[in-house]
Amino acid sequence: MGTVVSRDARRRWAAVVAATGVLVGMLAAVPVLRSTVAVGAATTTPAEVRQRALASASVAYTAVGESRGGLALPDVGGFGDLATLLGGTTRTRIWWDGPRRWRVDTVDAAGERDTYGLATSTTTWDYGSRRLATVTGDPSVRLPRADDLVAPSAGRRLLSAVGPDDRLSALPPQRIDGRTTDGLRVVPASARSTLARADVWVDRETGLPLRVVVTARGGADALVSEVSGVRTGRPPADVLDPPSPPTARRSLDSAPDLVARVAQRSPWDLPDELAGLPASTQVLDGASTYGTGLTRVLVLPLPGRVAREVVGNATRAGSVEEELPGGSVVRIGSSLLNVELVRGEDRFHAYVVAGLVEPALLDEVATAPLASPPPFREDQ
Amino acid sequence: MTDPSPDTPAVATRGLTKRFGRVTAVDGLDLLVRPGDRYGFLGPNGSGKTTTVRMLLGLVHATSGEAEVLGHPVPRQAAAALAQVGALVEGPAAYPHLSARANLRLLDAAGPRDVGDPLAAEVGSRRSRRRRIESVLEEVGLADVGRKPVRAYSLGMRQRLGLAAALLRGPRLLVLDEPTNGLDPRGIAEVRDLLLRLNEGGTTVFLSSHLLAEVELFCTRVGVLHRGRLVAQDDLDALRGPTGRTVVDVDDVEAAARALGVPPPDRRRTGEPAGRLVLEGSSVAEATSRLVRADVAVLEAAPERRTLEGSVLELTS
Amino acid sequence: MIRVELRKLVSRPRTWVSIGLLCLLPVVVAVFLAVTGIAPRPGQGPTLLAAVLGNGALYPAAALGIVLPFFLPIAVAVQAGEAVAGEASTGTLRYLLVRPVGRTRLLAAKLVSVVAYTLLAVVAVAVVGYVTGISLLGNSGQLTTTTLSGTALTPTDLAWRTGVMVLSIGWSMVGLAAISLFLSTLTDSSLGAALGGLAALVSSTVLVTLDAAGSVRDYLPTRYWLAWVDLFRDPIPWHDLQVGALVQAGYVLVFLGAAWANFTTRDVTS
Repeated sequence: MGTVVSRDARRRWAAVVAATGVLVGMLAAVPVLRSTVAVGAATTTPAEVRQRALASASVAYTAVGESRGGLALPDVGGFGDLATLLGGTTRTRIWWDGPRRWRVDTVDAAGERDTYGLATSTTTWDYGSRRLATVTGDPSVRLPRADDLVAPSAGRRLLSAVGPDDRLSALPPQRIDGRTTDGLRVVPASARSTLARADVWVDRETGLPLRVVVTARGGADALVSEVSGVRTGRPPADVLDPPSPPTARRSLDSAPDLVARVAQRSPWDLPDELAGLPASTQVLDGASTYGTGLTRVLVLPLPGRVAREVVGNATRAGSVEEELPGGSVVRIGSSLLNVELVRGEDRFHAYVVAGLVEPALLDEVATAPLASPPPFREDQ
Repeated sequence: MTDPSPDTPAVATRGLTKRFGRVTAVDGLDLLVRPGDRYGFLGPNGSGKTTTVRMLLGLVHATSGEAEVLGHPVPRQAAAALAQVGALVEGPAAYPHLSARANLRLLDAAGPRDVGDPLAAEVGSRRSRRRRIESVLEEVGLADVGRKPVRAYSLGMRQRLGLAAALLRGPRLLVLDEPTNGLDPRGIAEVRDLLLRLNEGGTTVFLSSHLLAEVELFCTRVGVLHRGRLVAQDDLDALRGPTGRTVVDVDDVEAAARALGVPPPDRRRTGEPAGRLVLEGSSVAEATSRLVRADVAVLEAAPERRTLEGSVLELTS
Repeated sequence: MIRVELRKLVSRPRTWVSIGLLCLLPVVVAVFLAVTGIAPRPGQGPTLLAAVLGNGALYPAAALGIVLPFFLPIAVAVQAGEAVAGEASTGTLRYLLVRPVGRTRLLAAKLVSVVAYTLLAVVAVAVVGYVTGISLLGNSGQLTTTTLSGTALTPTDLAWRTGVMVLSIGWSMVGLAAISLFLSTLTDSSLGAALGGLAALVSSTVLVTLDAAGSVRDYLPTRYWLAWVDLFRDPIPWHDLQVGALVQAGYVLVFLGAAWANFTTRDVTS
């Protein structure tokens, strides 16, 4: 037997539940509706898509980015924030006017670190340390920065490294951030690579890579980077000018980090081939990469003093120094990126050997210069 | 909104029922309170009095049945009805950190500013608020409490404040639940006098109580609630009416019994005082004349009346 | 009725005691900072706190950052949880309803009162933060402050950004207040309602940090609570602030609706 009031109660609750339902329904429906927007079939070949992506460096845009790394690298002193960059989530804001004028902010709840790229220098404002650091030139070897992981840049870098032996194939087109993208899959030719595949989704309209997913041989996504809220068009000029806070500590340098500094000062002339891998064509300061396509190994000679310090840092972070023919090695590894610190028995010759390859290949590469140390560079 | 005609019942319910889960608190109540009544709503604790009062005030919603207060169906038009009702439900309540005056000011300001007819609007106007508050405080005997916060009040003072709040807007119907709780005998008498005065001025009083004596002293009409059911509803005089028997007190019971032709009472059985005879089917005049003729001294003779207590016990046993 | 509720709010000693306590913590922190001159290391401790030494004008924002994670929600949840349940437990609810005050009107007045309290608390913390910041931490000799991005803020910039921050934090507190107010109509225990609101808050805070809950994270009430930090970046990223305000609006709408449906049809037996 219903009374006026219980009918009323039912009606009112029904109204509230219905309103909640509509709200939740709308929230749930938006992604579903977005994904059902028809995605036109790809009309271009993978090679064409790659070319469009590589040509997109001059496309001006503004976006926010997020990269999630799944690499469990130990935090070794001297390697900057490499471990957090590849092992955590990094949120960025991007203003891109071209490769010679851009700005990428790395933001978190406590502050931000903003990098301004200019034609001949990059300037980084670090809110936490109130430091304004300018680096002149663009060193050929340096540690990765947050702006390297921004999807368009990372995608271009990846696609530009693809060699003739690596397999490039098409993935079904997808809607990302309301845009139609063509998918590319890159699989390295070498079985010794730790990289299983890398997927890049390239915006059909602008050629900007909007999402990059790198998968290691282990199967898990090692790195996912994407941008959203992409708006094309030139960002306002004042946004791209580095600030000049009155209380900041300023520094001017030609090397942004330890690796770049060491590479610049390296006195050694590295051979043209190591462990059967040819040196890449790029001219590097005192370091060299070996291999082709996506399978490459970086070899960086270290001064004995620096090597001691870095090995000390690595063992403090939990790594163990092991024997290697002609010397010793500290392996710092993850499913994707492997790094080895190699020292000769004389404790004078030491190298960092790193790459997206299995440790055994790094060992092979490392033993060669230990057995026959390279000569001094002629220009030194 | 039209003014209800003078003989619209102050309270009328039909089959009013409230169930809390499986427990039926109030069961098919048909109350009728006429305008001008002093209605005593009598029943032991837990009989459903408070639930009924709360339903009349729109606080608790009935499971079934209907209720009308001053001609307005409750709870549908509760606002119209309640604007002319003053109530005291299950003890007084006030903000403890404020004084009596501040409490009344807040309560007065909280109500509707205009309930439709100009009289009520005048009563509710902000300008006359101070005067109204002083006058009700005077009426309940709290005029000189000053700025003391209610926290420091005695139970009796709080009860008076609760009454003052109920009277604040000159209601046509007062619904009072145990209004003399915590008052001393003098306070009880004062409150009773106040209510009588208001009733003479035309205010209908609905007084819910478990105290027989209080109802008997004050009310003109009584409803008796027992386990959620209304077992009686009548004028007080009807409930206390003569039983048809006659009580005579004499100095010689044996002689009197002989003269009246009835067996002498067995005192151990009846528990009546010594020298008392209870007669069936004979009037005071008849009994006294026969006793006088038999030369038995009559100390007192009267028709026997029911007590309210007796009636209630009879109804609820 | 709204005026009555506001008068009740300001006449109650507890209102001012709780706001006073809320303001006390930032003052204590400021005193320690000023006396020792030791700022927390960047990236540690409450947001913006590292920047306030010699930059007192930024202290209102830092002060809100100090009270936001814990003290402010507690104060708001207690206030909102009290709104209806408190009246019920003192017994004054029945007298208000019999007065008569419409239930919807009463609920609306309670909401206004809770919102007023929230704004009062947030503004009080900001004002006390400004006064202590300027007097204890100094102004570093110039009239400009820097954003997180290193650009200069004029006093006008700082003023309007702080104003928007106050509104944004206030609005996120209103979301919590709506949840507590709904619970307050369910129970006669103020404490229960306040704790219920806080339990929702803590659950949300835990889930936000949990990667496994990523699919619902963006809809959690505390997801965008720290978005006000964006106001001190340059240029300001409005996205999180806007989405956060919308999410809060959703919670406010749903829980106020539920509070209304429940309160207007329930039995008042207190």
